[in-house]
Amino acid sequence: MLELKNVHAYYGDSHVLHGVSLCVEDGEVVGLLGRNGAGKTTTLLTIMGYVRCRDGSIAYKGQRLDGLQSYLIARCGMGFVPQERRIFPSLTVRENLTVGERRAGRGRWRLKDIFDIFPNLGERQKNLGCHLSGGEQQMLAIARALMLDPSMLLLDEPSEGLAPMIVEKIVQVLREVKNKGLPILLIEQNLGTALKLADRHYILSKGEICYRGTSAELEADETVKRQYLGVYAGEAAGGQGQAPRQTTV
Amino acid sequence: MRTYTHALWSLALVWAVAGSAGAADEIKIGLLYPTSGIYAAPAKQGIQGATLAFEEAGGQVAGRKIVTIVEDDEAKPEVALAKAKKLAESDRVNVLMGIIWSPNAMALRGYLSERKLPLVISEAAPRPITQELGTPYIFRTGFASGQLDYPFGQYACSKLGYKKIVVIAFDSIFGRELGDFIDAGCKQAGGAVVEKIYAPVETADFAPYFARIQQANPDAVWALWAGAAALRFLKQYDDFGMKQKYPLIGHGALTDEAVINAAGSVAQGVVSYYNWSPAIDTPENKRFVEAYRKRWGSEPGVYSAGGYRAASAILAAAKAVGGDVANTPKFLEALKAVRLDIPSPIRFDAHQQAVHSLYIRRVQPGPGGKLVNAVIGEVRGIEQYWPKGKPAK
Amino acid sequence: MQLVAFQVVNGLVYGMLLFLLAAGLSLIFGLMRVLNLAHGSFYMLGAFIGLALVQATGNYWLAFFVAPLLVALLGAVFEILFLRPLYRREHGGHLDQMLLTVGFIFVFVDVVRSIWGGDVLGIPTPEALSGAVSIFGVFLPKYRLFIIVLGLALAATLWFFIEYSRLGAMLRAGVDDADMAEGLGINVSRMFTLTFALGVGLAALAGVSSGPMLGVHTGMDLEILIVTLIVVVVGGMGSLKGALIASILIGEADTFGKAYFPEATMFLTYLIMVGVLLFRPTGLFGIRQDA
Repeated sequence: MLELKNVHAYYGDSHVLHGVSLCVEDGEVVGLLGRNGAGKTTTLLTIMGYVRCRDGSIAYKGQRLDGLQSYLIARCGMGFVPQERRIFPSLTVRENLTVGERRAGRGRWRLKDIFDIFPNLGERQKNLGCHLSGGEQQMLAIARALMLDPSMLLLDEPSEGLAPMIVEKIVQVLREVKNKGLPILLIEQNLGTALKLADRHYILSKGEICYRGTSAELEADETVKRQYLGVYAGEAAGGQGQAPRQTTV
Repeated sequence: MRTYTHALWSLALVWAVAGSAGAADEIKIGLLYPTSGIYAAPAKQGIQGATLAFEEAGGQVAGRKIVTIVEDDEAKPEVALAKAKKLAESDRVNVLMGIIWSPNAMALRGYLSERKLPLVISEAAPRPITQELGTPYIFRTGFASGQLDYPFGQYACSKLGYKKIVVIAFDSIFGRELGDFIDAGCKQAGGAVVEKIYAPVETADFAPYFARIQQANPDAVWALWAGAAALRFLKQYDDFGMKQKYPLIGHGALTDEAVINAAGSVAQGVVSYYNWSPAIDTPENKRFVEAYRKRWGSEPGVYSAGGYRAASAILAAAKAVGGDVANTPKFLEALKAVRLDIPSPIRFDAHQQAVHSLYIRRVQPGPGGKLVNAVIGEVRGIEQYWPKGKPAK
Repeated sequence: MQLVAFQVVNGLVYGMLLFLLAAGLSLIFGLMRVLNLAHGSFYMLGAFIGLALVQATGNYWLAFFVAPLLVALLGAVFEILFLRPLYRREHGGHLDQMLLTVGFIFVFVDVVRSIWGGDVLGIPTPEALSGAVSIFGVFLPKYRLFIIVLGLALAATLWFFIEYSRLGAMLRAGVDDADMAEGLGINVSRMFTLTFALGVGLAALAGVSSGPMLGVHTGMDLEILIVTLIVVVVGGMGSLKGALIASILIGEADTFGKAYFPEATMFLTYLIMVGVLLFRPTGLFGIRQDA
């Protein structure tokens, strides 16, 4: 349902995406992997319309997204959870959740549901965004996207810099989201987390897709893991080393 | 071919001669007025007054056409100098007139001497320019600062009975000098200025200063504000109920006709002084006021009279030299001897400064209910050095 | 003591006028990162359009409500036509925007001068508010008291709108992170247009309400702009609370300065600015300038 065909994108004069093609089907969680600077975040930003798609096309449910303004892309059903969360610091937790809500009370997730999923946020709903911990901010960023009642989620490194317990919680929440049939495009540095959540994976290198395969295929392919992800046998955890070896088989 | 060239040359020659003759036939007068900014309204009056005088002369003197060129000096000395140079060197005017903003007159002084270009100042009042810094090229039909103020200070104390006065004026050399002259005049007559307030010329809100006036609790307040600021001052002085407690007296600019017409009842009762009022009851003045009204469809103000007076002086001198204004020494001699009766009598003293009459006026409804500066007192023969006999350098 | 009270009230009047301008300027900067140097011009336009409406209808209150609306509309058109094309330029086109708004200072003043001339004009004080009242022996014009009430009421309304309404939350989200707000489906360009219209509408309201007090003329735009900029710098760009507190602070400083150190009034104002900038470079309640 989301299909990128031969997408080229630039930052100023520097050519960042060299003809990226990928697709995410209904109900599917797709991982987008690769080393730092491979173009993962740029791919997401291009889908969201922040970075112009200069060549190629982006289609979602048969509608062209490239060339649309970001707010219209969001209104097409894209729930965007950016890197570094980008919580509105001067809005309360509650306001962060409701500020973009377009179908108040009619979506799949209401405030009440969100507070059931993330009790922390419920307790702190009157606190300002800038007073939350990193984990709470990540939860809020995901919750904020869910409150838009999206038909697809775009997640940029949701586990980055978080304590294992919180990563666990987030993985659990994303599984629930997946079970509700919501497709997800997920950028993840931590291979273990990615393998747990995603059905299929793309690996980007220097702005090009250099590998595609299912979780099982990727997990088995030591060469690809070593070459493109910097993961060696027996060290399945992501390059950052913040997460424990939760992903070893 | 040769004939053809000849013909062309002859034609060019005829043109050249005709052209230069045309220029010699004209009397070119440059009008320097601040036509934009806060003095835009006074400048407009001045230009209208001057234009009326030129038109009444039939647009010519001794068969020579009068050509006027107006330039905006923006009330800035450097602009005035640049515009004067433009008028002198590119338009080749024979004489300049105008100038409202005092520093502009000072800024032109050196250039005029160098260029030997006469200037008749209609308003700008810096004292030295007709005293210790006088030059043969500068005449002033307006008044010098202090010329009217010192005698008014005396008048306010002795005739109006205000012994304790607060001065509130815009902060400039001119404003401060006038404040000092009022003070000196008062002291001479046994009174005193108890407080002097000098506020920025662009003051929008006078309320903060009213507290100081209340604190000083004077018999009267003397004010010097012009144009925009005058209007605001009158309005706010009335808004705060100050007028009932402290009678307002002031410089003529404060109750300029344009100001009191716009201000309405808030200006009523204000006593001011100037070298003129449209309400002066003489046939000469009535003639001027009527003619101005008819020509411009509005009431003449003090700046209208000023412009008319300066233009009339130039016309009278030009006439005396048979239109030969290009002969500067002759023209300057003729200027010195000029005496005018319209709109009010003036003559020049030895330093080329006009000797005026001082008119004390009160703002009150005139015939037809419109507010006018009714004349309530007159002192004749007011010279620039006051008290009389003060040495002129 | 009465004189001090008198000055406090006068300072408050001036402060409220400054607030109406500073609030708009600050909101526009906070959301759009546009320093609208033509803000004073919209203040002037409000006053002149108000004057024209008063002259045409004889009804001050009609002018009071309609002039700001017309100017807000003009502001919306201005934003769409002139500012919008600049946002996508390098560095957000900040320098271009500043130059553009400076250019429009001259355009607006020439337009006004060509229609109304260079004279100082006045808007008559509305009947119901003319005259003065004496409160504890302090003599104060009713109209000035009205300005204080108006300013405080608008401050409260704006605060309520921004802090508690959904549109206000969207506005704050836009101020915090315009890109992210857009990513949540918020039409940030429309917010820009609305904010600009609101901001210049408030300036116009200040213009039309200052008319009966300070008069209406072509120099009023720059007179107020400089002080407004100081207020916004002191209060902190993008902060409504900062705008209110700094407006009152500068208003009182100016009023007391005029009364007690007339030669050093502007010095006092600049001193406050320098002091604040030294100790709090982003102003009293400034938002962070990073990101």
